[in-house]
Amino acid sequence: MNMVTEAATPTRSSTKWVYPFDEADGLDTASLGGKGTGLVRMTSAGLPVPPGFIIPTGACARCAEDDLPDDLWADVQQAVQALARRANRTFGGGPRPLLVSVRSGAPVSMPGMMDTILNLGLNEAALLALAESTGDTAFVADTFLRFARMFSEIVLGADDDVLDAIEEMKTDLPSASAEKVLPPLAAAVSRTLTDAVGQPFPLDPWEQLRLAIRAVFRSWNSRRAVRYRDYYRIPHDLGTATVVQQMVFGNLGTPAGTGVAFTRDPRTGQATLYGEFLERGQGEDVVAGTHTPEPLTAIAARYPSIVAELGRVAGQLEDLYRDMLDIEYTVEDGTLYLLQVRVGKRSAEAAVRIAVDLVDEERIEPATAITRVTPDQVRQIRRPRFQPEALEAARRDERLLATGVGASPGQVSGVTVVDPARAEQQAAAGQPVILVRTTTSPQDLPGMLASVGIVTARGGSTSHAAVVARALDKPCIVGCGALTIDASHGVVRISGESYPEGSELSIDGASGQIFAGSLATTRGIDEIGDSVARLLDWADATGCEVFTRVSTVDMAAAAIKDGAHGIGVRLDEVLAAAGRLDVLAEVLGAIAAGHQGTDVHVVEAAVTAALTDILAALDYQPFVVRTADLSWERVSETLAELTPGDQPPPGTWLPLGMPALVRAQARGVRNAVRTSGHPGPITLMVGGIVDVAELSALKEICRQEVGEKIHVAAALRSLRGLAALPALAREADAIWLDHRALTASIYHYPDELLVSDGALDAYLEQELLTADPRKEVDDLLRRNVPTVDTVEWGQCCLGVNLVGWGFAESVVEFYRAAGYRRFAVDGDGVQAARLLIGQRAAEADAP
Amino acid sequence: MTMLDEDAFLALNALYLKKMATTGDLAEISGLPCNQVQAMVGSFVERGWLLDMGGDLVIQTDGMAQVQDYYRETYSSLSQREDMRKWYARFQQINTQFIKHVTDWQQTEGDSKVQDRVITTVERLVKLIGEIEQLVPRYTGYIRRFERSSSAVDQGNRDFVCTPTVDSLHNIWFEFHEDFLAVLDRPRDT
Repeated sequence: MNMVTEAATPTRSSTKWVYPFDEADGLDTASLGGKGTGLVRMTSAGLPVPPGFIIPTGACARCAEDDLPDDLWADVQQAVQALARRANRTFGGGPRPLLVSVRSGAPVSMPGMMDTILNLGLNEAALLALAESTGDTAFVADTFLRFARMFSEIVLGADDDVLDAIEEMKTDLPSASAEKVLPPLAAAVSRTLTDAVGQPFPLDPWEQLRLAIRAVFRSWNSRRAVRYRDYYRIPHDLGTATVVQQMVFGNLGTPAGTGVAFTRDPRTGQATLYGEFLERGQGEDVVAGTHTPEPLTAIAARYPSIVAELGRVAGQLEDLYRDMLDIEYTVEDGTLYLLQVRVGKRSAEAAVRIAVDLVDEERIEPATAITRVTPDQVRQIRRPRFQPEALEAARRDERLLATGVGASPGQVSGVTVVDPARAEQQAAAGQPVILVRTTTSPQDLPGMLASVGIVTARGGSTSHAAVVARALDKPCIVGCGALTIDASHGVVRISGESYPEGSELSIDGASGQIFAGSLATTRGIDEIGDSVARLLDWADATGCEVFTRVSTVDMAAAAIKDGAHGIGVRLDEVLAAAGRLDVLAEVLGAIAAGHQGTDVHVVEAAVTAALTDILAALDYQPFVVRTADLSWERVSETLAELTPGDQPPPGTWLPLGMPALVRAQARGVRNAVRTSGHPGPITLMVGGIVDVAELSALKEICRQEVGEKIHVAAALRSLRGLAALPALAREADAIWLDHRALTASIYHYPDELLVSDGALDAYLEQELLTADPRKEVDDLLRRNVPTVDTVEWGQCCLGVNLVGWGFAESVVEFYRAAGYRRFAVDGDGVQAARLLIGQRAAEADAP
Repeated sequence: MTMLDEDAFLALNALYLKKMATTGDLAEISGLPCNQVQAMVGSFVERGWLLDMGGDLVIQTDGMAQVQDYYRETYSSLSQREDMRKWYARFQQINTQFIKHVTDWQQTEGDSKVQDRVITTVERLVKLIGEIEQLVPRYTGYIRRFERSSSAVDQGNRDFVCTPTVDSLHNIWFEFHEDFLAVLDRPRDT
């Protein structure tokens, strides 16, 4: 946002207080505010914007305190008269009355600022004239009451009951001539206001305008706005501008109407104009959903010139804003006007397609494209939905059991559970659970959290279940009347059929449909995978690399598909996944029990077997093998089953404390590389190293057991290790910073427990800690993580390991800013991480 | 059986309305110091009023009875008053609006105009609560929570609109509604 502080500050003598849209080209956002800047920009680009003027931010300080200065008011009156002349209308009279909207527009948008007042300028004469020119008394009454309601609420601060009273006047309008309806209506509003706020409703349009402008400036100092500026340290003297603009009517002349259009299809991202048009309607009708508009495709047949004009304007707007836009427009007597233009909301898939298309159309650069999609949207695209064929088959086979109200979108299959506590248990046992309840209450929250989907028999789309499910982003169907729940027998009955707990169901949280059995799923990424891949390649072009850790062949294949730049494994995890952790445990147990000369070759063989398949699935990717973590906490659970009560063998807690086992693992890796035919070199990494001597010893082990064709790396887990980093970097081929372990070591918390969030969350809630160590990089760590100096550290690759901890943006940003370009994340986050890291790098590189 | 004192009621009522919460939640909601709440929770557990499931507290039947007794004893004079019934009628009006706005907010993916309406409606309720604050002084606690969470929303922390796992506006509203119904001694119509 442009925050230039040289705002035009009109002084009393010189002074231009008011800038028509077509005369404000030289002023910046600091003066015109965000809204005003947009209008000026569109006007100067020749786009059809209803004319108007801006009172710049420089006027705010004076107007917020006092009444409007006389010379300002005189300028405003002049500008309104000019508008009226230009439109061949009259402000406050007939035969064609000029109505205006009044809005606030600060350089930085903020909550608590005055919203729009529409239809300002109606007095008795204007009401009658408007009725005469539109031939529609009911419309004029409606227009007036809308204005009266907004004005009473925003400017006069009237309460709900007053607003409701005004609202109700709509319903008891007599069907009589305009003279008999409108003046009494205006009088009734005025009376209601006088009774409620002790101030009559101003029927002088100039007074309406003066009060509205003053209200805009005063809203700058509303409690909410001040609180917001305090929080974000936005200067209080920045001020807001006021925008006054001519109203246009969608029910004047022919053709006339109003609508909303997207410059591209917001569902798919296809480059076709998408939208609707309500013939002879006013803006609010479309938004309020009180009338049903027609799709633009239907309008194109009836009024081809309007749709063609809209298409032309859409193209111009995209040239101007270089993005997909959402346009509110009105056609008055055959002329198209743009009422509001903003960047259009879009589905995740559309976001990707549009970003890539805009690059192909040379409207934006790849570095901009990657900022147009959020990491969350990338995650959404990866979410499963029913395969179209499976869905069709289910319908054909009459597996559609019932239809409720779709309350939160998403398509999932799972097993039914009717009790929230059992839902938690089943989910913990790895079952996808669909919680089926009559209704839900806050008590059911833990069960809802554990479920993949929620169905209720009662309630509408505003029920507790619906609100909570949407907040949790879980598919949810509510108000499914065909469904009864027999909680005592754990049975769901749907249209007479019984489904005992554990029956498979599939639910569509958008359509509200419930199907018997489970349905095969697909993902958006399967369809637009190529576009996602291009986008992420652009993100990678910023020079960052994302690694991930796998423990099976399938995980490795998925990681490669998601574009991981490197793959890591930890040998204890690989052994566990292969069902061979017992080997490690037995050997350790034997050593602990004091058996001399324990045979460690079984470990070598197990590592060889478990690694070979994974290595064979890899291609050219860098591959990092981390030796098993032999610390007692980690393996004692398995060991305890085998040799209860044993003490740990000495040295398990030291990185090279059991050299025989490190050697066995190194040989296992060597064998696997040979058998798999992996081109190498691969990297062998040991965690917890703090001294160059350890690293030298590790290199020697590798040289002896593997030969030259292996790289050696250290993972740092303590401040001691960080302090040794520059020295280690001269010796090692790679160094990874275990961010979670580093944080845990600073707090002296157990590494593993730091992620089991329940306890720490409760602790934070009690304010026993001021900062969440998972979300922010601790100060001590900040001071001790060295900034990367590539010259000094030569060939050593440096990385940050965030596996097992999601990736908080602030954490990524800290390391990125310190020069780290390689990150390891959990498998399901590879794509989102590639995007996020690319975005941050692109932002930092931006001029 | 003696009735709860006010502090004990504040802590236990917070759990009564939330059904499941941590000690930290109860302190936050009741506005009482953490160590005091911790001590009270200990004695509640001993009396079987609540269950401690590894930090998550769950209210038990006896605990609920305690809270309900307090409501009945303390507010019986209020529940019959005409002005309270009228007040509730006004509350119901903005309650309908609030629920609609929250739903709109979710369905428009957090549209900023709709978000403004959510907060304006909360501000209206805060004003409305102000009118009965003298009759139920502890309702200032709701005002405090509403203001804190509104600020959080304004600062861009959108979870505070209606995410069930934080002290969101929707949660506070829901709890206030339950609380007021208990004061009026009315069952909630579902």
